[in-house]
Amino acid sequence: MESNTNKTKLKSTVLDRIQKEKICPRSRWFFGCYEFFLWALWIFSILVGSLAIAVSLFAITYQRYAFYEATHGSFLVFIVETLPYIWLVTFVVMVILAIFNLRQTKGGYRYPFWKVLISSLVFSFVGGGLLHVVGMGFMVDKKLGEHLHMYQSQEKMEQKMWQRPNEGRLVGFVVKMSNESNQNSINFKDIRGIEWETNIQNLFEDDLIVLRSGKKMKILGQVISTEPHRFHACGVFPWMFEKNMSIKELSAERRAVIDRIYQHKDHGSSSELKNIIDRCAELKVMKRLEMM
Amino acid sequence: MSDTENQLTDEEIVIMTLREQSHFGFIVDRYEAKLKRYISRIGIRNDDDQLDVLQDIFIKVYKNLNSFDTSLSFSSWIYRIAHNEAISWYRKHNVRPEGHAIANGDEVLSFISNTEDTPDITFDRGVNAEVINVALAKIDKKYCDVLTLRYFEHKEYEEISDILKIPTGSVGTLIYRGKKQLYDALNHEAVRI
Repeated sequence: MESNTNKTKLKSTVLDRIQKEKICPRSRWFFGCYEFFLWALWIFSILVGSLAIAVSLFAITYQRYAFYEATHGSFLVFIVETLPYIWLVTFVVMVILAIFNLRQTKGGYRYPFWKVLISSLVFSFVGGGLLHVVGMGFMVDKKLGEHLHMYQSQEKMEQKMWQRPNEGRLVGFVVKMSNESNQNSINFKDIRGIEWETNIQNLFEDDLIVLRSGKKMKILGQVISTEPHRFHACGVFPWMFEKNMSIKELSAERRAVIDRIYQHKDHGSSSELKNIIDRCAELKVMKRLEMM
Repeated sequence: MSDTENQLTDEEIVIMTLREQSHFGFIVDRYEAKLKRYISRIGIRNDDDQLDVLQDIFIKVYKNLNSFDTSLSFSSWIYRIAHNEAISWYRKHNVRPEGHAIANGDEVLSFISNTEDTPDITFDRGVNAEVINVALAKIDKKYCDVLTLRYFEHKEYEEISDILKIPTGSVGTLIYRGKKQLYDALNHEAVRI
């Protein structure tokens, strides 16, 4: 009897409250939009995660073929210093976000954690791989570098590693060069605006081709004096960053770079211009290459 | 409730309620006792508190009727809301669940004799409701919740999965571990393996 009274009491209280407070069921649209929002967030996190993978893949493949012997003592030190940490962290954050969003969707809780994790990883890696293949990783890294002062793009990192005159590395453009084959020096303007009178006597034909291209380039050599600015070039390499090269091409380019530098070693002992060529044979990179 | 109303499925009543508000009373009638028992089992013992929580549960159910997913049972859906409201109530009042109140000796007997999930553990038939209550209060809440739903609310794995929003596979694991922890919580005089 008491139970029935309580039952009626609760029913009437609830119905009264609904009427008094003018409570209405939320529309289907509201729940539809909420579900849509969760899925949109999931897609967003997968997309950003894919982008992070694409940029990381670009950075890692590019670095793999970079001429790291010129800038670092070992590949390990080089890779630790240049890994795209910000993108790797972004990827992890996006995977966590994707898992969280998927779990919040209507049926998301039914899937075991490992399935949600694996699916998020697979989608991100497949998406990232595709974006990398179409050059999106390169593009995003470059554009962010151009528009965000704080962002350390691969290009900025490369410039930072190569624009170090005291360590025999310059990045810039040729400002004055004649077509004469017996020309001994050129004027080279680095990215800080300093113009170097650069001796090119020891360069090989492939180096000269790059010099004549008029494009941005890297020069490896030695500073002869800073007042006036004089530099001795031992190798010239294209600013590979601006090239859309395949892994195979990057690999071949890297091999050619190493071969050209290493040739100075043989020339150093046989050439008539021994006093000049020795400068190149004594480069730090030569010792590193010998150890390989 | 009349016979006609009794024959209606929950889903049909939901559709009717969305057309005519007063039909919501059928849902209150149908679930009041079940939910009262459930929230009592998960720790809300005081009558006034139960009434408050039940009101909030049904108001929330009404507000969210359009979100009811017909791919799961209405019962699971309303139990989920009840479960969440009970947790919100604890948080709001900054209290801990008062432990599990098992209704009667028959349920305890049914529980202790059930070996489907943990064949290696059987509880002594001499264990009484009070002892089980005390032990359930000692074990982790996540285990308590599944054991309550499985053995005292007699829910299937899939229903428990829908109520607690966990994968079905995890339900079995939680029940197994929950029973083990319950065994540890009970002293060795009361149980035997």
